[in-house]
Amino acid sequence: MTPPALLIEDLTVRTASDRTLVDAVSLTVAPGERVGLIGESGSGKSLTALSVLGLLDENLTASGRVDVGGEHDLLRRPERRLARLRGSAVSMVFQEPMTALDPLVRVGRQVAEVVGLHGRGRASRAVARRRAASLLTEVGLPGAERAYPHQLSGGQRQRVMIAMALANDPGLLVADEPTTALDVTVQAQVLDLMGRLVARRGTGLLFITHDLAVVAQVCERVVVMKDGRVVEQGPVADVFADPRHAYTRTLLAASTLPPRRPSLVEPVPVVEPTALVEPVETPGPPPAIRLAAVTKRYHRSGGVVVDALRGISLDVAPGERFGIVGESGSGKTTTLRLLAGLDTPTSGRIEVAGVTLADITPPDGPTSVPERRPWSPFARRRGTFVAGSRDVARVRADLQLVFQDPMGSLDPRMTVARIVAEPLLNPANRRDLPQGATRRGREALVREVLAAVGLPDDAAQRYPHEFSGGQRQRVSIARALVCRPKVLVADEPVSALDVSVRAQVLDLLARLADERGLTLVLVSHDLAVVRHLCDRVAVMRAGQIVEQGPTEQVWAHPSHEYTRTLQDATPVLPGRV
Amino acid sequence: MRTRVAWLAGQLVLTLAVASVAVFWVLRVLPGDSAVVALGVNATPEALDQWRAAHGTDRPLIVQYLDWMGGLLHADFGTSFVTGRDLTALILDRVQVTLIIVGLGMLLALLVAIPLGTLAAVHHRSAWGTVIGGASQVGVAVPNFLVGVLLVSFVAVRARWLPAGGWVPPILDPAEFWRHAILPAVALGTVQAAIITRYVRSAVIEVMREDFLRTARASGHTRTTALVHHGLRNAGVPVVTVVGVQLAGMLVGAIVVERVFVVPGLGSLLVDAVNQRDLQAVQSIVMTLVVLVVAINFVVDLLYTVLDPRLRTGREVRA
Repeated sequence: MTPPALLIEDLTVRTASDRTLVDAVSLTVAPGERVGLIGESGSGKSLTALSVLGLLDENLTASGRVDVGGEHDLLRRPERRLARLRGSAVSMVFQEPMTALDPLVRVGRQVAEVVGLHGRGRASRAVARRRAASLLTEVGLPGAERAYPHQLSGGQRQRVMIAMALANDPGLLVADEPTTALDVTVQAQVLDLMGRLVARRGTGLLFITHDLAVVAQVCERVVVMKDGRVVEQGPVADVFADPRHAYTRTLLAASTLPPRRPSLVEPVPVVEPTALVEPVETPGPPPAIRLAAVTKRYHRSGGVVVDALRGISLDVAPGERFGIVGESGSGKTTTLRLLAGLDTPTSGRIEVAGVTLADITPPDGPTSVPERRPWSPFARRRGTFVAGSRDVARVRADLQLVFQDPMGSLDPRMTVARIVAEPLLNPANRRDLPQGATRRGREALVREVLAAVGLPDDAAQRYPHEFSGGQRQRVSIARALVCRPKVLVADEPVSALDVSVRAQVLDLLARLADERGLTLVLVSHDLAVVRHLCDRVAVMRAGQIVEQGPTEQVWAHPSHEYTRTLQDATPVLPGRV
Repeated sequence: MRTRVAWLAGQLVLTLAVASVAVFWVLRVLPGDSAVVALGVNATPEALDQWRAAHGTDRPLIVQYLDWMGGLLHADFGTSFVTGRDLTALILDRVQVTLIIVGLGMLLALLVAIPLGTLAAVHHRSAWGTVIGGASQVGVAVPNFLVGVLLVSFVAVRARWLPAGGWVPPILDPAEFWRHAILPAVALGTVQAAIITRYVRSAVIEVMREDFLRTARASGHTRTTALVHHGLRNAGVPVVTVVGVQLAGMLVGAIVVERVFVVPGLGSLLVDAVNQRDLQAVQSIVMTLVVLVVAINFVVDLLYTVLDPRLRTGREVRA
C-alpha cells in the first residue's frame, strides 16, 4: 500500500513560554488528494503547514508525528536532512506573491536554482535552465526567464512560485492562502492552473485558506480548525451540506452575505449622467457626491503616461448607499483620493456635499462653464477651477474615510481616546460641534461615538494592539464619525477581517448610515459585500465605469461582459447563491 | 540603465560646480588677509600691494574664481601663496597617501565587519550575538586617535614589531611601505569595523525576516545557504550606503590618525595650509576632498544600480 502524501498525528506547537498554539492536530492527505484546511486568524492553520516543512520560527517547538510520503518523522530530523526534502518531497506556495521572490534575481534563475538544489545526479546548469524554461511555459509564462520579480504582476509571481514548488514533482504541495492577495479573476486563473498541474502530477495538496468557497471549488476533503484544534473534518460536500460542529455552521453562515433588503426610504432618484455629457439639472436636493467626466492622468518619469481614470461620471444621492466594485488598477483608489481632496483631477467636475472641489475643462474637449475664483491659489488656466484649502477642509469635515488595514491605519502609540478625538483638534472639523473645542467636550463626543460603534466603555484608555481586527475597524469607524460627517467612504473595510466579524462590521456600517442619515460609499473588490450593503453599484475597470445601476439589477442582469466575468470568477459555496 | 548613469553623472557635475563656488566664496569671506599673513603685520602697504599683485588677489573675485576653476579643469591647482611651491604635485602626492590609508582601513573594516555582523545577526538571540553586539558598541565609542596611540605604545614602542610613524611610498620599497602603512590603517579601520558591524547585523536581521528567505528554505536551502544565496546581496544595499558615508568621513577623519603616525597625508597638508592662511592651498585641498566625496557617492549610486534591478529603469516601480 502506498503511504499517504501527508500524515500528521498529534501535532502540537508550543511557544517558549509554553503556550499551546496548535493542539494535537491529526490529519492525512492521500496521494493525489486535495485537502482544504480552513480556519480564521489564530486558528493555527499556518503553523500546522509550516511544521510540515520544518519552517517554524525558532522559538516555537513542535511535537507529534509528521510523515511525508515515505519519509517518516520529519519533526525529529536535523535541518540539513529536512532541507533536502523541502522542494523535492514537499514544497510550499505562500500567500504574499509580492515579497516571496528574491527581488534581485531573475525568475528563471530562481526556478533553475530549485531544480539544481535537488537535481537527480546533480543536474547541470544547462539542464536546470532548460527545465526552468519548460516549467515557466507550463505555468503560462513562456519566455519569462529573464524577468525580475518586480516586472511581473501578483498573479504572474504566484505562477512563478507554483513553478518553483512543482519543479521537482513533490508528492505533497502545501499552499498557504495562495490566492488571498490576488484579484478574483486572477485568483480563478491561478486556482485553475494549480488544480490542473497537481492533478497531472498526482500531487497531494494541502490547501490552507479562510475562504470556504475556494475550498469548495478546489478540494475534495476539508479540515476545519479553531483555536489550534481540529473541530471537524470530512468530504467537502458532506461538511458543507451538513456541518456537525457549531463553529463550522457559524463559518458557513457568515460566508454567505444575504443581499440588501430594499430600504424603507427610497433614495431620491438621480438622472444617470453619461461620460462627457453635462449632467442634466434635476429638481430635488443636490447629490452628496457628483463626478462628471472626471479623468486623472499620472506622468511617470521616462515619459510614461498612466490614465488612472478615463472619464467617469456618477451621482450619489444624499442618504444613499453606493458601492464601487473593481479589481486592482481599476481606479478605485484614485477616485477616493479625488473625493477626499487629496489630489486634483486632470479634467472633469467634482462636487462633494455641495462644495465644488474641481471643475477643469479638458484641454482639447468641450467646455463646461468656467467658474474661476480669483483667490484660488491653484487656478491654473482658463476654464479651470480647483478648490482652495478652505473648501477642501470643508469637504474633509463632511466626508470621512475608513481604511482597509485596521493594523496600519491606527497609530500604535496613541490611546483609542486620542485617536478618535484627533479629528476634533482641527477647528475646521468642528464647525458644528462647538463643544469639541474643550477637552471635556471632546471626551463626551468620543464616549458617545465609541458607544455608537459598539465598543466597551473602557476601550477609550486602551491601545490599538489590545483589540482584535474587527474591534480596530470599529475604532476606525468611530474616528471617521466623531466629527459628524455627511458622507462616509469605506475603502475595503472588511477585506482584512475574518468572515465571522465581516458581517458584524458591515451591519454596523449599515446601521450607522441609517441612524445618522449618512451617505455611504463602499469600495470593495467583492461583489457580495457590495450587494449586502448597497442600493446602487458602479463596476469599474481600467479607469472606466463599465456598468452602474441598482445593485440587484446589476447582480441579476449584468449588462457588461466584465461584470459577468467578475461574478463567474467569484467562488460560491455550493447550494448557496 | 544608461539614462540612470547619465542622470547620476549630471548630478555629479552640478554638485561639483556648486561646491566649488561655495568653497571659494566662504574662504574669501573669512577674516584674515593672505598678504598680511605672508609678509607679517609690519609690512608696508606698498609691499602688501606688490604681494597682492603678484598673487593676483587684487583682481575682482569673479576673475580669481574663473582663473582658479580654469586651472582645476586642467588639473592645475596653482602655486602656494606661502611657499610658492607647485600645489598640483604636492596635493596629488598627499592624496595618494590618504587614499591608501583610508582604502586599507576600510578594507580591513569590511573584512572584519561583514562576517562578524552576519554572525551576530544569525545568532542574535544567543550569547554569541550579544557578545559581538556589545563589543561593537564599545568599538563605536572609541575614538580613532586613542586606538592610534595605543597601537603606537604597544605594537611599536614596547614590542618594536613595527615603526611608530613615518611613511615610505610603495614604489620605493614595498616591504617598508607595508610596515609603515599597517598601523595607521588598523587605527582607522578598527572603529569603522565596529560601526559597520552594527549595520551589517541589523541589515541581515532585517533580511532574515523577508518572505523570500522563507521561500528559499521551502525550496531546499538550509538556513545558512539561504542566507548566503539570497540574503547577503539583499542586505548589501543598506550596507553600501553606510560604507559610502563612512568612507567620506574617513577621508577627513584621517587627519587625526595622520598626525599620530606622522604620515604625510592630505589632512596634515590641509591643517598646515589653514595655519598659514594659504588660501590657494586650502581651497584646492578642500576641493580635492569634495571631488573625492562626490566620486564616492557616485560609485555608491552606481553600485545600487548594479545590486538592485528595481533601480535600473530609473524610476520607482510600484507593486
